[in-house]
Amino acid sequence: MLNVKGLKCAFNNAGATVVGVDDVSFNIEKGACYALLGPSGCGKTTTLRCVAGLQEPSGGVIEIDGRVVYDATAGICVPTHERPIGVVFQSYAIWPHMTVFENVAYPLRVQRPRLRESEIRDRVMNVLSLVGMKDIGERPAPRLSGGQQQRVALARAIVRNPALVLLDEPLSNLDAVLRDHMRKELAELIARVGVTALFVTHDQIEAMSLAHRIAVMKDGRIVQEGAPREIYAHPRDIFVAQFLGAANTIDGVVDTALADGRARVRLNDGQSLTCRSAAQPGSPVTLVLRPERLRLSASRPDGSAGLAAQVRSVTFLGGFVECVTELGDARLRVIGPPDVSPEAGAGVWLCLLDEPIALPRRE
Amino acid sequence: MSASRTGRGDWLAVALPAAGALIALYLIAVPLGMLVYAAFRGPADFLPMEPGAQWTLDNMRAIVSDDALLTKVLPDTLIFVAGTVTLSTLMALALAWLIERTDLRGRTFWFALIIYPTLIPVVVKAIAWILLMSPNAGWANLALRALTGWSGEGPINIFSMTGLIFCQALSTTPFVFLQMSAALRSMNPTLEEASRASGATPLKTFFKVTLPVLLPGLLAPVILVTLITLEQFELPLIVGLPARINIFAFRIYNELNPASGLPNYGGAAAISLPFLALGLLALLAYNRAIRSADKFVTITGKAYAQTRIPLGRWRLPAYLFLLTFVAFSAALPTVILIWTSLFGFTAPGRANLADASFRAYASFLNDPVFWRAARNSFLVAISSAVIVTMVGAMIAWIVVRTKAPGRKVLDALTFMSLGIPSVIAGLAVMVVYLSFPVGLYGTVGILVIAYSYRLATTTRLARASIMQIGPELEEASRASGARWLTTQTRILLPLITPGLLSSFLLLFIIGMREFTIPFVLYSQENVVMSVLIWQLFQGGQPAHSAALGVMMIAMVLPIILLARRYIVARGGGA
Repeated sequence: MLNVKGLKCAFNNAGATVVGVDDVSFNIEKGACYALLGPSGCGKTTTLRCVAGLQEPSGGVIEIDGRVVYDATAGICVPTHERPIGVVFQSYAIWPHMTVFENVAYPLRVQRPRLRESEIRDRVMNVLSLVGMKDIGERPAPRLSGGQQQRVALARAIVRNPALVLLDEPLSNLDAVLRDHMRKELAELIARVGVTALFVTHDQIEAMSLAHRIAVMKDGRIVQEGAPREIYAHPRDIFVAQFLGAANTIDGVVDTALADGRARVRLNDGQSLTCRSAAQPGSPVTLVLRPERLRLSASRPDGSAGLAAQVRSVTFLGGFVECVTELGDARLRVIGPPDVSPEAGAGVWLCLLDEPIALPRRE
Repeated sequence: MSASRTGRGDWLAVALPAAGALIALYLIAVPLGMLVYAAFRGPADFLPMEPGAQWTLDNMRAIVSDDALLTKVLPDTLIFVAGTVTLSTLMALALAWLIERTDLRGRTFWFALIIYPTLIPVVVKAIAWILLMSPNAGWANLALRALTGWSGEGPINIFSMTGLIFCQALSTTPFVFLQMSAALRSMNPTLEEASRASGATPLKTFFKVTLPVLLPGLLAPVILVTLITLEQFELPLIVGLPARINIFAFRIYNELNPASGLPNYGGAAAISLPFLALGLLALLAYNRAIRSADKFVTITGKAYAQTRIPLGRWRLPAYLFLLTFVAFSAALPTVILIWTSLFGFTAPGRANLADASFRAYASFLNDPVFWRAARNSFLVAISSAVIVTMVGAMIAWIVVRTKAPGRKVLDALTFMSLGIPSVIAGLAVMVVYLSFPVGLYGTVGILVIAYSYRLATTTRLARASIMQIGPELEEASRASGARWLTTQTRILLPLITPGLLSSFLLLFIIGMREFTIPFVLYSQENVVMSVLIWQLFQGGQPAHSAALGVMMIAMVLPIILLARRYIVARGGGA
């Protein structure tokens, strides 16, 4: 559906050339929802704007629905309005001089050949009821709440059945409670409409809950691409591990390499444990321990691996307890059930529910 | 937080703003009240409170039965205003579009060149344009005749309605341009991007999204320029009068300075009433326009740089247009003034460069009139700017921060000052101080008072700065134990200083440029530079007149540049 190959985009910033996007390639299947995830300035929004044609790349190929819309070497650059897309902007960009209905009808009205008025009406009412806005079609656009604007923007983006919908940080303008709600609604809507979607976000929860596949970006490049579970469980480096969910890190050195991509790692304080790692013996590594994959125990666990640590602080957070433990000079955060409540300063055992991943560390 | 809640000991919290409100009333309501009063008092050559004056409708009857007013003054005024507004709107929109939305090069440079002439007094520009486009010896005509072999006078005749409108539009365009480029800049670019992403062509996007969204923002400057044009006096006097164009401002002046007989105060006041009403009506429309513009878009969230439209093969015409505009509005007038100050009427082709002489400049050194005019200009411009900035800031504070009764009236009254033509302001002040024998008439003091009616200039700027400062900053100061005055001087004042400085600067420029009020209220004692320039030119001393114009620009320009630098450094926008 969407095929991006070797996309490059360089800016001219105060005389100096800044590379915003550097050799980005990815592929979205028809009907799939794909997320570009990364911190601000990583080039994700620039990538989206290049796909939309709102920004001209400096190299690469973009193909939407079998049609090449940009090809640097062939000199092809299809203007935005001729690309089969719909865009939901971060600020929603609802036109203030039109009603909700007219905002949504606009993509149909500018189509040539003209559509019949009755058809426009039906299709607009259809999408408006799809996003739950059927009753406020005649309201002037400036009088909409944030959540309503978001729905109108989405309705406008899908009304002409575009091959591809692009969403630029679609939830970041909403407050926390509304964001939670709209995220679920958006996931449901995308699934129901069956549209192919590319969206950009800096929020890992958004990316994981909405997308079938995620590309994590950093400094204009894709660092890792895959299904949410896959990336979460097998981050390629520390950046990805920490960007996707909370991650404790602790340094160590590979002692012995074991079979099938595992290794025995000795931590700085002398304890050792088995990790998933392909690193050679003697090479420095960083272990990634997800807080929810650790359990607190008063005694040495049998069966699973364990680490001796010291409790530094315990914070009761209602549904669970957050416990910060110390292991040498590293601090590990553990989430536990509220009934487990060790004393600060006490010795404690950390049970590992699965083998952690150990990533090579450059020193 | 209201002044009434600021505690018992803080009588200053009530007294200071109250004093500010009283001064505002005195500066605006008293002259306007006197004007209306004078319109209904007669006989016409009596001052309204003079012994022997009584209530009458004669003045009103006189203007209704005055054919010249209906067949000449009104049409001339309307054609002049409509023509100027149309031409300057078109030019300003084109200029703003080129600079804000296209990939034109050297945008900062062009921007500076376009707004530079706003610093030059209109009298000075008027004289320069006459030197450039007068039918017999204007430089442009000399050049055109040499190029085309045209014989006789012309082909350009500045002394015509077309010439007047052209000059006036050149003079007002920079003001419209400033506001329009601000409107273009504040437009959220994603609104256009959303249209393109919906499948609309660039042309369709322009007509269906860009223009409708910008319309309220563009309407406000158009109405404002209508107001500005309505009160113009310099160009109609200097360029329009030889062409027998008679607009209302000039007519009012004529009533006060008739060719024979005594000044007709009642008649002048009566004529000003309909034009005052016209001005206030335009002001009402302006108020509505800025409100609906506010309701529309401003930039939200993180905005990307607007996509600039490539000029392509339109690049050359665009540069030609810019070059022509800047040549006529800024470059040629400046060159001509400098030339004339050195060579008098002798045009470049016929002059011997060795004949250049600084005599005109040197003669000012020992001329007491020059020194008086220079001192008066600065004195009046600075003191009225100080008064207006201080009083205006206090009124803005009352309106934004207190629940004082009557604050809405105060707000409306100060805003009204924007719609009062300056010739009417001058007339009203004249009637007040001729009626009350306080010894102000004919002094510099009356000019300071008359100039100071422009309170809206400050209140609008100060209001915006105060509104940006959360009331909790002042509340925190009070919660720390500071008294009202301490809070104002230590917290609020430093925060709004950049805004107040911009306002002061703007008023200073307006004061230095001002011609109408000192012309109407002229006396030997209170002559200012702009009036002196006109007198010298009238008296057949073009070199002296031009030299004074050059000196005025040379005096104002560095002050403005330095002050602007200071304000920008303090984080304000001027």
